[in-house]
Parts: sequence; structure tokens; C-alpha cells
Amino acid sequence: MEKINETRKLIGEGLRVNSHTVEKIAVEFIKANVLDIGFSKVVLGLSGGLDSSLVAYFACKALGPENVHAVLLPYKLSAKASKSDAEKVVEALKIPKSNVSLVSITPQIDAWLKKNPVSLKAPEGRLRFGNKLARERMAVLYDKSADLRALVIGTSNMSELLVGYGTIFGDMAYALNPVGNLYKTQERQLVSEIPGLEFLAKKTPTADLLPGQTDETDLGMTYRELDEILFGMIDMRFSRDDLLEAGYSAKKIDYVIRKVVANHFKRAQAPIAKMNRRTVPVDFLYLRIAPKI
Amino acid sequence: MIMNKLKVSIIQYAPNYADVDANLKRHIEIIRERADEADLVVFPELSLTGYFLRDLTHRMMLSSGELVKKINDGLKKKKLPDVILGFVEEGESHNPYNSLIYLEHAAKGYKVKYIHRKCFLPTYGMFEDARFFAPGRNLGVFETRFGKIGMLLCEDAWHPMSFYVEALKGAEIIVVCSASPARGVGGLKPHNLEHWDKLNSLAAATWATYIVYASRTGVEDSVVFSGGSGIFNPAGDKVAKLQEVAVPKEKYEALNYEIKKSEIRRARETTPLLRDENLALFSEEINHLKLNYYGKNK
Repeated sequence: MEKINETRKLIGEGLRVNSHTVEKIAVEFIKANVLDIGFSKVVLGLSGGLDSSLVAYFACKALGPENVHAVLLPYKLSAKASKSDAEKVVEALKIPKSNVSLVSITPQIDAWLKKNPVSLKAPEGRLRFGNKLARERMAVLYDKSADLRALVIGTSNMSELLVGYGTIFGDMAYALNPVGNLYKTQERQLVSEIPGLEFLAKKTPTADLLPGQTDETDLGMTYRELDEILFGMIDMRFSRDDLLEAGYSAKKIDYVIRKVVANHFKRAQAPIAKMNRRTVPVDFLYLRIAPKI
Repeated sequence: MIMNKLKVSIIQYAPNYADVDANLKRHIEIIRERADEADLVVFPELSLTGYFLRDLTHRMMLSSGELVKKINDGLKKKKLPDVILGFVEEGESHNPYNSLIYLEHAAKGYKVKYIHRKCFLPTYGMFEDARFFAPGRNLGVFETRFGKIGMLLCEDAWHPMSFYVEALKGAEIIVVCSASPARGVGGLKPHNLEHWDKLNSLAAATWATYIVYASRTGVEDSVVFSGGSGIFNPAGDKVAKLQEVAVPKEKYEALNYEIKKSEIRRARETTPLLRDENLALFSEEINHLKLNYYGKNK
């Protein structure tokens, strides 16, 4: 019994964040990865959800709201609340109206779907549909990036990255990401402490690809459960046996492990066949900021 | 002339990544600015180059002779403070070392007093030191105008033997220079810095030495360095410190503190652990370890 409490207690405590410390690190990270490489602005897809709102907050703190461009990218099936929540966030963060654009991706998606129909009833169809939406949004953001000379700032969090709940070359494409090492549970705590964004802590997370869809239904467990298992395994290096002993269900642990393993290809850089003496990125080792090679 | 007080100035700043010329210029400006108020100016680990150098490591090398010449060419002033800075040293056989150099100022300019090469090169987690640097082979202590000083580089200090050996060799001040990636965000400061504070505090109190902790700030790709430089007195208290993580753009922060010999004496009278150390026992145990542990198949 003691062991159960101790493991769970360590995981629970470990997932707590200090908003002051997180903000300081996020702000320095953004400043360096934008200003120091000759840019002054960022652009992001603002969905009205937790991840992109938190990223917008950090970006505003680091660069000033006048240097943050938000693009709302609805499809015709997107929830109405997404748009109004995004507008609430824009207002709370004082992002100038001229920095906010609304780009409906309905015309291009529907044109594609007309020629390449997918069935939203089948899992493969939903996968293709979700990926298509995410990649269309990425294409718009990268066009805005070149147009505005603003770097695309990413919003994938650690929970999503680990279980692969994201689209490679879609929402997983970005120039920098300040929240990719924060679990969803930690993001929730953070927004609950940010004036004007508190409402997001209680909002049901959704990829908003299909009406009524929620992340937690897709994942088969709550983010809290998912994050405790992930944080326990990844950050705290507890074994499967440790987690079982602490009372986590075998079914959920194994499901999470399977997800993390099966989706590793999305996180790893694609291998390049080694032919010559030096190969990217195997033995051509430079930081992105390297001023010379 | 033996000094009883030493005015230390810790420089907390973010080096320009892989730009030795720019950093050298900044070092020279900073040393000049500190000249009137400091006897010793201390820069963080690899202050001349930045930390995660990877395949740029060899390209950043300077011999200690070249370095001293460059600094003397840039700084001509009668009275200048001694300097500790971090650089990629081109050592014997053209091997790169992650080194700290102590430059002593005299009438004819700076000369090399001592070089400490990082002994413990971490390769766990995000670290890659031993992949690119050759390891240092001793934990030296050297005589200065103030008394005996020892130097350590980052990971060196996480191994208790480093403080221990330098304390036994008579160090009254141990200067620890680091580039410590901020990680662990549950507390008011990054967790690594909380650990650093414990480590430095314990070593200072145990051996009744001052610990001068110079820690860099700035960002290299994913990593934000944690700053939080400070002075630990011989009772183990962090008596002065700089802010964590954040750094003012294009600037540096200096932490000025006057170290007093009388405080070391007082602490060693109160807690004479160093006096009571048992070198004979230690040496016997080391011999025992050598015979029964290292290189033996069990």
C-alpha cells in the first residue's frame, strides 16, 4: 500500500508545474529561436483550444502581441465555439485585430474530397480526412509564414507527441515549439493561472475534425490518466511493473506503450541512406543556430 | 603580497554561439568595465564559445598561448583584475579540452597561472561532452595573491571527490563554472538549480571554503541555460546571487562580492572537518578499492 501511494504521489507531484518558471523558460526559448536568427514575428493556427492559446500567450510575452499573427482555419464541420473561443483569446492577449485572419479551408478540402472521396464511417477514412485537414492548415500557415516573414510556431504538446496524436507534416510541422515538452495536464494548470484564459482549463479538448469528437474518447482515457502513465514511464522511468503495483490498469498501460512505440516514426527524423563520409543527421552534427560548419 | 580580502565579480551572460572573436571582444570589454571594482572576474563554462559545439568543437580550439596573446593585445591597462574564463583549449596532440584558465595580471600583462581541464565529461541524457572533448587528468589547486584557489567545471562538481580533493589540497576558494540546462519546472527555480544550490552549499559548509558559482544563461536550440550564479560562504549559505534563467539582451549581469579570509578562519574554527580528515584512512581505502574493485572480474 505504501509503495502505491509513493509512486502515485511522485507522479502527481512531478506533473505539477510552477507557472513562473515555465513562463521564464518559454519566453527565453522563443526570443532566442526567433529574434536571434533574424526574425521578429511568429504565426500560428489559433483553434480556440488549450494548446494554441497557451502558445499564443507565451509568444505575446516574448515578442509582444504586435508580433504575433493568429490564423483561424475553420472547416465547415468545425464547432462554432472554436471561433468564438479563439476570439476571446485574441482579446485577452491583446493581439491587434490586424494580426488576425480567418481562412476557411472548406473550398480546397471539399474540392479535394469531391475527387477523392473518403468514408468518415471507416477509421481509414477518418484518418485520411483528419490528416488532409491538418496538412491543408499547415500549407496555409507556411504560406503566411513566407508572406509575413513570420516563423510558424508549433502547438503540439508532449502528450500528443508521445502517443502520436498528430499529423506528420501537418500540425507536427513548425519552426519552433515552446510547449512540446509540456503534458496536457500541465498546460491545463498553466492556463488556469493566466487571466483571461482560465476558461480553457475546463474546456473539453478536441481535435475538432468531426462534430462531437473529443480527444479523450479517441484516446480511450482521460488526459489525466494518460499523462500519469506517460510521465511515470517517460520522465520518472518507472517500469510497467512499478505502475501496475501503483494501481494503474494493465490495459491502459499497455495501450499507452503500444501508442508510444507505434508512433515513434513520427517523432524521429526519416533515415537517410549513408553513402559518403558524412551524413545528415548521423555524423553531420550541428545545432540549428550554428553560424558556420 | 598576501591579500586578506578578494573582490570577486561573477559574469553571468550568454556567449555568442560558436563565435570566438565576438566573445573575446565582449570578454575584453567586460574585464575593462570591471577593472576598478574587482580583483577577480569569473566567466562561466566555455564562455568564449558556447556549450553544445558538437562538430564545431575542433574549430573552436585555441592554445593557451594564443588566448593570452589575444587578451593582452586587446587590454592595455596598468591595473586589471585576474580572470577565469572558459574555452576550448588545444592541448597536446591537438586534442580539444573543455578548459578553465586562470589569468593572473602583472606589470607586463596577463600570464597563465593555471589551467583546469574538465575531468568528468558527461554523456548521459542530453550531454555529449566525452564524445567531443578529451578528459582532464587532475584536480589542481594553485597559489594566488589571495591564497589557494581550486577550479571545477560543471559535471566535475557533481562528483563529490572533486570538492574533496581540492579541499584536501588546501583550496580556500573553489570556483565552479557551469553551463547548466534548465530542467524540472515544478519549483520556483528550475530543479537543476535547486540541486546545484544543495551541492554547492554542502561542499562549502563541509570544507569551510567559499564557493564561487558562475553559471551561464542564454539558449542553444532546445536548451535554455539556468543562470542563478551565486556565492556560497564557508558556512554554506548562498550569500549573493543572480537571477535564474532570464538574461538581459546584449548585456551581462555581474555579481560583486567581497570574500574575506577571516570568514574562512572563523568557519574552520567552528566546524574543523578538514582538520579532522583522515588521509591515512582515505589512502588505505583507495588502495583497497584499487585492489578489489577496479579492473577485477568479479
